[in-house]
Amino acid sequence: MKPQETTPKSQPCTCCCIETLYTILDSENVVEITPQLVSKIEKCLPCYEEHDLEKSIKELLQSRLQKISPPQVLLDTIRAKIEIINRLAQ
Amino acid sequence: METTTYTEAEKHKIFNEELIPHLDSMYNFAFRLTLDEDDANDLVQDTYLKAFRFIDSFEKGTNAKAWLFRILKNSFINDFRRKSKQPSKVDYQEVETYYNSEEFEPEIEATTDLRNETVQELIGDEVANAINSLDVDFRIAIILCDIEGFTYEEMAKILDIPIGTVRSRLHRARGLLREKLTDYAKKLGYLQKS
Repeated sequence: MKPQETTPKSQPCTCCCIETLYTILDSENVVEITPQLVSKIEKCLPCYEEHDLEKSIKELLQSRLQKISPPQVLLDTIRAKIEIINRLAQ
Repeated sequence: METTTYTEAEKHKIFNEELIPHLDSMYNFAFRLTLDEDDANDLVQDTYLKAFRFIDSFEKGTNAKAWLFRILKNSFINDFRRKSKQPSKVDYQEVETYYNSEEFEPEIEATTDLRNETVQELIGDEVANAINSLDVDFRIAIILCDIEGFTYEEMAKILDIPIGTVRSRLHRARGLLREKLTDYAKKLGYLQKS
């Protein structure tokens, strides 16, 4: 997606709201994403930059945030406690 | 709420095949909420024990991950946070009302400063610190949508709020996260301080 015209960066965009961009970013069908809407965003630099930046932040969260493995003892403890609950219930 | 009565064998089968596979995601979610490994352990244990106890209210083959996340979030909000080391609970509605009010204006300068290239410079620790410093309700919105990939509809069910509120909360959360990332970028010299 490349912007086709240059709007000054500081100029606020009024052509579409941020929530519409989020809808596109999050692949939600809350609003209808028509070719006209996509074309509008492609032609508007503030919208394009907004979408691009949010996309980068979303990718950053997915790629750089460390995933922590639960300790093996956690699953064992859960199973042991369920076993106790079952025995007490019998 | 509709319930099904499962046999003991069915309960164990559902538990092992549909609930246990989400243990990693559950642990990471719990850790992002409590910011402490021991507390995350306790919260996940508590969630799985509740899930087993109320397994009859889970419909086999439906979205087990969303069901578990909802139990975990409720356990955290209602029980866990009360007795943990976390600061006292912020009034949910008060926070929402404030951030949705005209009184609240995110630092426009901060949001426009951050660029795509700057974002790429940030490392995991800075991203983690930024997200951890958000108020828990906004943190949850970002985690559910951007990290766990839940849809707005699933988030609405997990959080017990309308879809419109999910969208506005996410909007606010993203604005606040961007501010935090901008602050980090400035402190680290990736961005010029104003």
